Amino acid sequence: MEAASVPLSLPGNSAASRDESAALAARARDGDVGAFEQLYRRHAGRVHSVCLRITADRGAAEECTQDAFVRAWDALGRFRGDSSFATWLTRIAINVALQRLKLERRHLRLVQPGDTEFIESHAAPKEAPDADMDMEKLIASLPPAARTVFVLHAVEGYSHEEIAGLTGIAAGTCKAHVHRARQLLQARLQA
Amino acid sequence: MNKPADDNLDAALAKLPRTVEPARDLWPGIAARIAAHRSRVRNGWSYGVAVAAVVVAAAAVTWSLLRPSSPGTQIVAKTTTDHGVVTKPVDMLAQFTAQMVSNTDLPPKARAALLDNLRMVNIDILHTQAALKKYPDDVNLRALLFNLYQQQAWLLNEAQQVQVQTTARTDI
Repeated sequence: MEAASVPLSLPGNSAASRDESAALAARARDGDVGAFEQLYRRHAGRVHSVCLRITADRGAAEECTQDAFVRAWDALGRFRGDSSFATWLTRIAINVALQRLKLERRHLRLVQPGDTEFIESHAAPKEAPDADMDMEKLIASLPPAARTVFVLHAVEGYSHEEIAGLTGIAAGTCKAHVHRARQLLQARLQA
Repeated sequence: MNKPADDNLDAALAKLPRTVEPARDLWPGIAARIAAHRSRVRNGWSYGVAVAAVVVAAAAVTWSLLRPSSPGTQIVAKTTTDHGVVTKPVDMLAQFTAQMVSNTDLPPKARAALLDNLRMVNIDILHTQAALKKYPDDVNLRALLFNLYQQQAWLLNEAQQVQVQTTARTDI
């Protein structure tokens, strides 16, 4: 049986922070680039982490992050505040990263275990760096389809139905990918 | 799947950092692309309005020339006899379109080529207008004139596209 996903809570998604982001988004919608830069400073890490985990490629993740913010700027007029800005932006980032995988067929360009450059540039050095880095590496080493679905479900907290809508694959296939990813990760964790 | 293994995995997932900051500041690239986009949108609007203005102006000239007893009629009647043909209207249209083209950031060669093409189309437009004055019911002439207006708009639009391509994605 598949274990429950443990999505990461969105940083900067408290009520106060949501209000501040919404206010900045409103200013940015009126053409205030400075306000949009503040939104970038608040949410770049979040957007980049999603892009990095989906693409498993540092350069691609940076380009996707830029693309996501540019797209968000273009789409600010359609941001109504039904969800938080962070949630809305993350959704854009996911779409950008998925589109990149589809268009460029870079599915096999994975970060390999032992890629010290990747480790050094993406580690979270403040707490339990080894454990975190290992898990990042393990996720990055998953087969692309399984990795994408696993990241969306187990890390980002999307339901199988939502992932089906995002990726265009059946919900049942999503479940199979997550199951496979969990098996692979458990096997590698125990190794 | 066994429970302890699941728990271990979930515990490891829970430790994943919420954010992973990019290795470099990506904002300058984003800001440049936003600025380029804003510029394109602004230019696109003004250029679109200008293209529409040219077409409307050309159509207005046609209407004034074809209208009985209009000053335009005199111009054409006069110019068709002394080879000054269409000189004034051509100059008028040429000046108008040249002003539009000069407002673009096109390379000099492209701008010169565009102006040459526009000049030829403008001359054809005026000749066709003169012919229509003589044969106002000629359907083919009307179709030709319409086609020439389309060419004129197409040329101006192409100029805009070239400009967009040369200004886009300067950050990468």
